[in-house]
Amino acid sequence: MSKVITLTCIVCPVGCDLEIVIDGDDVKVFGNRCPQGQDYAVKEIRSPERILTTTCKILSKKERRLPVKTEKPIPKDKIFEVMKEINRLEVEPPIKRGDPVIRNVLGLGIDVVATRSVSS
Amino acid sequence: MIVVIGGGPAGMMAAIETKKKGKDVILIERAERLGGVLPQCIHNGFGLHYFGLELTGPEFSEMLEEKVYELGIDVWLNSMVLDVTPKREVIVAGEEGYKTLKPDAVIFAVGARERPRGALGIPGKRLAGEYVAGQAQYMTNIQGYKIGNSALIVGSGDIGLIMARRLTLEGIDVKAVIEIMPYAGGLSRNINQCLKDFNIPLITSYGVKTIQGDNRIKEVVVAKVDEKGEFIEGTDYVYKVDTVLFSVGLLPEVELLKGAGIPILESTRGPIVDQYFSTPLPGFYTVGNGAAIFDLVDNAVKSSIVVANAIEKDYVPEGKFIPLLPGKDVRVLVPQRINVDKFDEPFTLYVRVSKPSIGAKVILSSHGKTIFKRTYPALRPAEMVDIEITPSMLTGDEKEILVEVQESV
Amino acid sequence: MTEEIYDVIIVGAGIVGASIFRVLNQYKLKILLLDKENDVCAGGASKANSAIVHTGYDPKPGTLKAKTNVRGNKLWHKWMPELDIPFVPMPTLIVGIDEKDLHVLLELKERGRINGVYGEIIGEEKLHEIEPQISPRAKFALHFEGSGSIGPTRAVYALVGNGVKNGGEYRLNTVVTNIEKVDDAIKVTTNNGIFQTKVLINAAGLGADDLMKMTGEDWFTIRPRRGEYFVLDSAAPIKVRNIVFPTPTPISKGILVFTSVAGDVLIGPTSDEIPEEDTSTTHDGLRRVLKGAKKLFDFPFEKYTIMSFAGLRASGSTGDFHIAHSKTIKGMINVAGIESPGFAAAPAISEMVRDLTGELIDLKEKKDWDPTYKFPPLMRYLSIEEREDLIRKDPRYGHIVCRCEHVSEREIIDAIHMIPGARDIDALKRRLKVTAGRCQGGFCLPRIIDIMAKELNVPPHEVSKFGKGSFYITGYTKEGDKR
Repeated sequence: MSKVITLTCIVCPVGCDLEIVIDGDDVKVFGNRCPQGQDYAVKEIRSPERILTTTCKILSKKERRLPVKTEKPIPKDKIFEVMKEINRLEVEPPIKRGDPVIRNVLGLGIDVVATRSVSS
Repeated sequence: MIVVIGGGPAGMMAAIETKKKGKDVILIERAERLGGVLPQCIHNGFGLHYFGLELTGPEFSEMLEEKVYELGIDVWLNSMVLDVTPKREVIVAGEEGYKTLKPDAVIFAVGARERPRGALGIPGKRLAGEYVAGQAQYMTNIQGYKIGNSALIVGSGDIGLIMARRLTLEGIDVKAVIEIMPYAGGLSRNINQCLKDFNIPLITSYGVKTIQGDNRIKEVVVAKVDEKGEFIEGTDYVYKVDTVLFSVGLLPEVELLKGAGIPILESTRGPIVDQYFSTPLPGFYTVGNGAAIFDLVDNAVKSSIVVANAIEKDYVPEGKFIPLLPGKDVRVLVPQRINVDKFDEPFTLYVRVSKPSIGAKVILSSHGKTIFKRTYPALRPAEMVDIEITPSMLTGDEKEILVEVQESV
Repeated sequence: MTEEIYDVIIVGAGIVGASIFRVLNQYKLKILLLDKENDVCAGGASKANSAIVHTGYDPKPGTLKAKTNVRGNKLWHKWMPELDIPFVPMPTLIVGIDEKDLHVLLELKERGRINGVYGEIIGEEKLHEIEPQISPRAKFALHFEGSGSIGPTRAVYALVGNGVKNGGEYRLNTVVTNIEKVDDAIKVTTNNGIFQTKVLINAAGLGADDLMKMTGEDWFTIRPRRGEYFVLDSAAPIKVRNIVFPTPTPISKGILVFTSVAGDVLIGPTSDEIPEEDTSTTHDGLRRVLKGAKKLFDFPFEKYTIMSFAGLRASGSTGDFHIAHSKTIKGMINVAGIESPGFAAAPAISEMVRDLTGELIDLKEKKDWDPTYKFPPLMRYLSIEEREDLIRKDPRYGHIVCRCEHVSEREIIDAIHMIPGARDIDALKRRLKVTAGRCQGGFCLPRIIDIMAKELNVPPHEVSKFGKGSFYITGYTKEGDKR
């Protein structure tokens, strides 16, 4: 049973409208004007990844939330699970931009880091 | 002495670059911290062109902030400029009272505000639960407030798309993004990563008919619009949401500029500037979104670097100017005039088209003679086109330059 | 249940109820003012109207509307300075484009004369001189002096504040559910307690007929008539120096173009009878507002709108004000059907009600009655020296929160703690214009929510737009909902 997904390629500003036919493990890409579009589509189907940016609680008189991000892209289907982990945090200042607030989140080998500094 | 009004990215960059040129700089910011809107833009996509890095708003902002303090720039926080006179007097209100400054140059880095619901005349009730996207972003990211349970986003500009994702991540049910034009307003990257990733539908050619509820919003009625923007009968659809976010455009904050006597253009809703981002009045510059709405902060801060160079050279907006006029399918040009008497270095012309196209040409011409022509595989209103204009491209006798889009046949 | 006993209870803290509250507090009486909303001046027409003190040419001669309008206009000119109520005098111009219009204008001029209000017809040249941006089609106008734009909500706050200063009390979020005569007194049952009073004054606006029905008087009905408006950006390139009306038709006064006391141009209102109370603006109504305004000025109003709103007039079935003793309950006075020119007429209406009250109970003047009221300082109206004085007293006067209207943190705090104080964001808006400027709260609302939470000593999720559960925040990120 094949499945068809449409996607706009984001590799370059052309934004080709891709049609992707998935048949089990087989992925066929149509509509791309270049090979990078093909690679993007296959990755998006097989193992889509995203950098997650969000906030977490911080115990500070000056700030109520600390902006954070995953320092590398994580699997797209893990986004809400990672959110849950981040939502449990209560970070204590001082914290510097780039400091990890969670190491190796969900065993993915990726840290969640602060994107701003907050003094104590 | 140079006064920079506004401590967002363009303002911080302007202060940094002019300080590096050896000038005394006072950077005036009305909020309690520097950064402008960047601290609340916790998503990434900043600094790609400028730093070569994919940074989040807070990171980009903090890096500039550190540089500002490192250079010893005089920063006035919680200080609001109330008036700038044509004589270049800057009146500042702060917790210590009122101060009047008389700088050698003023750089307006005042940014933009969001267009409210009232500007679109959307009928219905005025209840709790109605926000503009940036306001909701501040409440969610800085204050940590949950602004509602279920939301409809009106307008598919980038801020609306970003907030669609953000609210979803924080547990709010975003039902859809509706857009009155037949095409999306924001970058495709955001359509994919903010909407498609979360199965949030984007509904084009739809507008809001009314907003209803009792004390809090309970529902929003939308309907399809035709090419004239009129509602089509029988296409009503009701979204049962308690929150509406409007993302319907940004307007440069021109009030202070008007007070100084600087003319404001209909097309950009900002001041008229030349390639040095100087207004027609000597010593008055504008940078960033306060000049015209840019697509990327990277481009907005480049204007600050240009201004610093101009101030170093004691630039005066005198001499012969050639106007740049927006033609077919061109909505915004930045800058809008070229000082040909003082044109010794290339500058970047930013063009924002008014509708998407494939394989169209952008043409610069003067009285029928083509100065520049290039084919673009894709043009989109969300992404500005940069064109490098070099002195050799012009003879200097041109009366005006027309910038237009020629669609592919 | 213990009953609280008063001499006079006034139901409805709109412009009429508040004026009566002020006037009666001149006498040695225990007075209570009730309102169902979370603020005075929050319920009906008083918060959403043109805020024009009309001269009185328009109402039908001999009616209560005409008499109270003309007398009210005169009284306002005494009250406004006493009560620190902002007012900008602005003449009235009723504009005509052809001969047919001229006949109607002459008729209006005569009507004015009978009412005791004198205007003159001016020609094209003079008209374009006093209103330069008026449409080139405008050929003549009927011109009246004596009108102007008032701060309507400031007026109500001043009247209530002045009443409290002189011993009166007010209570909010209170709805009257029953009225009955018990011996010599009237028993008033509400959701917030039971009261006993000698005199009950019904100034309940859109709900006045409901109170009358409660007491067996169902001959009088009030039908809501909706008026929609647009507000323009104060920086819009149009200056309107007069209150500009079109020549009226038999059905309607038409869409006006005028400048509010705060300096914004407003266009409107429509006049549509609706089956039930609904303050929604409508697509069709707003369209008619733009169309009407463009008849008077060739200007792209739609490019400069920042906000639209609708107000409901309490239109009485007799066509005139009903100000009289109740037919069924001795001690109750009904003040119903107060629609335009209700605002202008309010001081005169309160004189009438005072006289009616005097027929029921003794009115002994307070020797130390203070006619004045002062609003907390508003920076935007002060000189630089006065502002710096305030900043020296409290640096929070120098910390600007509402950037469009230049309102400081301390002014917001003052508006919460003044009498009558603001307890929600709309209440602050009516006092200070915060969130009502060109960004419509885009920048300041989140910060004002925090200030309000702190000053009212409540968590941020309990800050509301206008009370009654109109909360902004449902909870906190990472914590979920609080309700």
